[in-house]
Amino acid sequence: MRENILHKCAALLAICLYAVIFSSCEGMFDGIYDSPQDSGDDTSQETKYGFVSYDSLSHKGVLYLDMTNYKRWTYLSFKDMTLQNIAIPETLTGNWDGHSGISYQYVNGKEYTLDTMIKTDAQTDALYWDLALHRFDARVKGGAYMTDYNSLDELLSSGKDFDNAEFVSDEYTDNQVMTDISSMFSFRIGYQNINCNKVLSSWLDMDISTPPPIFTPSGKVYILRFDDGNKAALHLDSYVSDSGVKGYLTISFIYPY
Amino acid sequence: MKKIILYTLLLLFVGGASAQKIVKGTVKDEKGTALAGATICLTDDITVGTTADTDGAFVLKIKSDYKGKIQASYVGYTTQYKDITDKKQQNIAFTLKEDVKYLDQVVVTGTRTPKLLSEAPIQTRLITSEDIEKTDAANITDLLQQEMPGSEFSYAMNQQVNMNMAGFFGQSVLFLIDGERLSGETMDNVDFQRLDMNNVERIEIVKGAASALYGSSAAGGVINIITKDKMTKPVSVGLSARYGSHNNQMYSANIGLNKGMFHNMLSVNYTGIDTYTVDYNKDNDFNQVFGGNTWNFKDKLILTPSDDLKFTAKAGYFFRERLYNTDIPDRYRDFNGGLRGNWTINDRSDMELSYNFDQYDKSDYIKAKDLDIRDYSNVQNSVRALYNYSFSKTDQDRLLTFGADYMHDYLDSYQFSDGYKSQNTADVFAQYDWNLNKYWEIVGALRYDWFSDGNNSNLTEKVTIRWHKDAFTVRLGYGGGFRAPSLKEKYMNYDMANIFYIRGNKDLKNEKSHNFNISGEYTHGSFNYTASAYYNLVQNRITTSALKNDGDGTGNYVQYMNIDDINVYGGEITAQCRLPLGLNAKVCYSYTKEEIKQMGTLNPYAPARPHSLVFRMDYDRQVSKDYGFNILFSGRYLSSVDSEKFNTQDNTSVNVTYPAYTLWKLSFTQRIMKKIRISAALDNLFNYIPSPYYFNSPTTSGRTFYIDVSVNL
Repeated sequence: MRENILHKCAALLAICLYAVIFSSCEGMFDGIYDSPQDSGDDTSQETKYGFVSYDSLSHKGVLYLDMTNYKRWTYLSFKDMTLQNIAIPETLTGNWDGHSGISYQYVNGKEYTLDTMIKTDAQTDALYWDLALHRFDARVKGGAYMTDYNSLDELLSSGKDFDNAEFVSDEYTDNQVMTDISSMFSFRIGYQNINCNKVLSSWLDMDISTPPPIFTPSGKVYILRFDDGNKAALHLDSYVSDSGVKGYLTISFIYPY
Repeated sequence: MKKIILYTLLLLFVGGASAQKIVKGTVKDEKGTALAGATICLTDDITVGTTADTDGAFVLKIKSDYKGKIQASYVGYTTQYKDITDKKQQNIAFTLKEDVKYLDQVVVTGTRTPKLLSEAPIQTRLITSEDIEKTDAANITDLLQQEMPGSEFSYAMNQQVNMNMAGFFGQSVLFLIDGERLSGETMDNVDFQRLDMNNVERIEIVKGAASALYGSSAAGGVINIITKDKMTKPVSVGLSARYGSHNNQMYSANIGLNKGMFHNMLSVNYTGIDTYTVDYNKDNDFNQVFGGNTWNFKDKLILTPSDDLKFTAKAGYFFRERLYNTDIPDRYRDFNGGLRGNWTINDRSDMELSYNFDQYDKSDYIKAKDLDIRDYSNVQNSVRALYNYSFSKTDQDRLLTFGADYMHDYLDSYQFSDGYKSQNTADVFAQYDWNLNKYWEIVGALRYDWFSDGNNSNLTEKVTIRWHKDAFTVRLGYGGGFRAPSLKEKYMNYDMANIFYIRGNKDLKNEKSHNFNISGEYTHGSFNYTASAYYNLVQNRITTSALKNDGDGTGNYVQYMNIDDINVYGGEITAQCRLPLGLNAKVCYSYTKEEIKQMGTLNPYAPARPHSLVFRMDYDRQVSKDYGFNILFSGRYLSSVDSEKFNTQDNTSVNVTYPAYTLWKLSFTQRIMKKIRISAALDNLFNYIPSPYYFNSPTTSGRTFYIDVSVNL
């Protein structure tokens, strides 16, 4: 009888011991997750952004861009494979051009009501540029056309040249280019008054009607025709960094197409 | 010719007379009272039957070759069966017992000791496996909304689910699985999708503060999900499949093995639903309901080497993917396991020791890069001990309970800016349960909790008195509740999409509550009526402040803070019965009132609706041994509620009224050969469509359907 009780006590003690041993545990199964490699979230290392690869034989390349900053445009020149960041003006220092500024709009679903407009200097552009990006908004020195293809390989196998495609130019907008989102939860957002390419900007829809934003990529390949006559094919592969931070664009391209 | 006809008729008459036998007798209750109107019929053919007269007497003619059973049934009493003998005339005296099946169920949550529901000193709401089967609920949110008025699940930001149970949000209602806490939270609520209804034996709900037994986060109540562990067959297999609107699919499989001292139950559950859009309105809080899928694996092994010793080991894995952004779905995983030993030391004492591990992770799956990046992990290791000592060998008229818990809580979150946090918590508690006589019972408990982070501690107490006589029970109680600030609430420092920061507050005080409650219960046969009322004084509720800016260049922020006293009071009335001919009905009404003295808080949640009601009526009939069916009509009504919407821009509030709504469901279930169950249901029967869709509107897109097939072997 006594031995029996001792055995039972020993069994219960074993449970306790097991428990204590594992109580220091701070998680398991780390191996099923990925670790962000050199994630690119560090904005101090700007040299890694831009045209990160290009094959002159196939004309294929990759752009990796830090688009986390709401207050600047990034200008890209495909001809020179260069990148230049230029800040969005927030004040008026000289004569007003009649349209440049930041429009604070109340957003209700898909309706916009202008609250106030702050006049600013005109946006300064880069000397040479083909494409300018701000967050997920785009400006094109020329026009853009959205294809039905979901990858550059699909595009290449089609053999189409898009010479007769209808390229859409930039148009003026005061409710697309967000520069001040500090009051987003009150649905009051500051937008830059500027020309913007709505076709290319559709590569990533950012729905803010029910915060937080819902991101929906189109997944399509876009053809750009620049003022110099050259064309480029672009596909937005990803809009997040390796660690999942939104605003880091990976764009595969063919230039000249 | 006339003679031939006469002989033929005579033969028919004689033949007919010889093919019948007479069964007569009486139907009375245990006190000898005649049960007039009781139904007497053949068990295999209920179309052959009669009813008892005012003296309880009956006469039934049946085929002489019938060799089965005859049954007598009466509302509020357990059906009794008797064998038919070969005698041409048989006298049978039925003595029916009162049906107290519902109240005969054992509950454990109110006192952490097994008690009959009718004798539980703490009022306990019980949702049985039969209720779960009738509601066809897929998970705990479905179930509670159908069964518990005053419980509402609405959306918080980012379509995360937020619960409100009688004025208490998710962080103040403790969810347990077999008595164990769940790790992880999102917007202060546990992952309700973890709590599928597959393999659940019953759910016990104790409303009101229960911190004297359960510690922190039990200020609003405890919901304890008890899983099945009783198996009778050596091998049992259960399979089920469901298909419904929005490509809603659910599949589950259970395999039970039972041999000697070993019992094992393995269950697997999958659910999936597509994203669907709702009618657009510019004032909608959401325009889509995001789909996703879940997997839930659970295994429970029970070892009983002797009558007085029982070991339980369990392990589980949960996976959920949510398609908020389709190319970067959110992923949620949980790994859990545990060991428990129960030892009946002697006639007077027993003890329980357990260890539990629960790890809840969140990650983002970046499809384009095939990267699964974890950004949240909460790991809880717990050890528990519980000891019961009865001062009497034969009757538990005085029962003393001691308990102690230790937990290591580890949290690594994307919402921290300076790495992971962890702390140890420990507690001891004691409870004395004293049956003064057959009418009166008094229970008192005291608990001391300690948290290593900030060397925080709390003392909680409760006392309950139960009076019981015949069919009446009255309970009167006071319970203390508290919630220690979580690691998240203390150390959070999160950049909310460049809009503002959410900051923790190391100086947060414990949220405390005082709960006073009274309830009355009357039971007669299958009729059960309960009424209860409660008052809660909540002090130092932890919530987030309004938008602040210190002007030091750090920008806008909200911060966790304690707010002034809140009064929450209300009551509940429930009536349920089993009517003759297989009719069952239940109606439950709940009233809740929150009085918040001080606002100035960024509270994203809708308050409790003052009035709510759930109703359920079903007709159940076993047509033959191999076929039965059930028709169920159920619904719920939630009244409108006035609230305020906070504007982060100018720190002002605007009044808003969230409209009332009612949802109804009709289902038809067929049972074939006791092994196959086929259900078809129309949900939101009257096609209610909210406009606009507020966070606390039902997520319905209109009338929906589902078909469910299950097989048990």
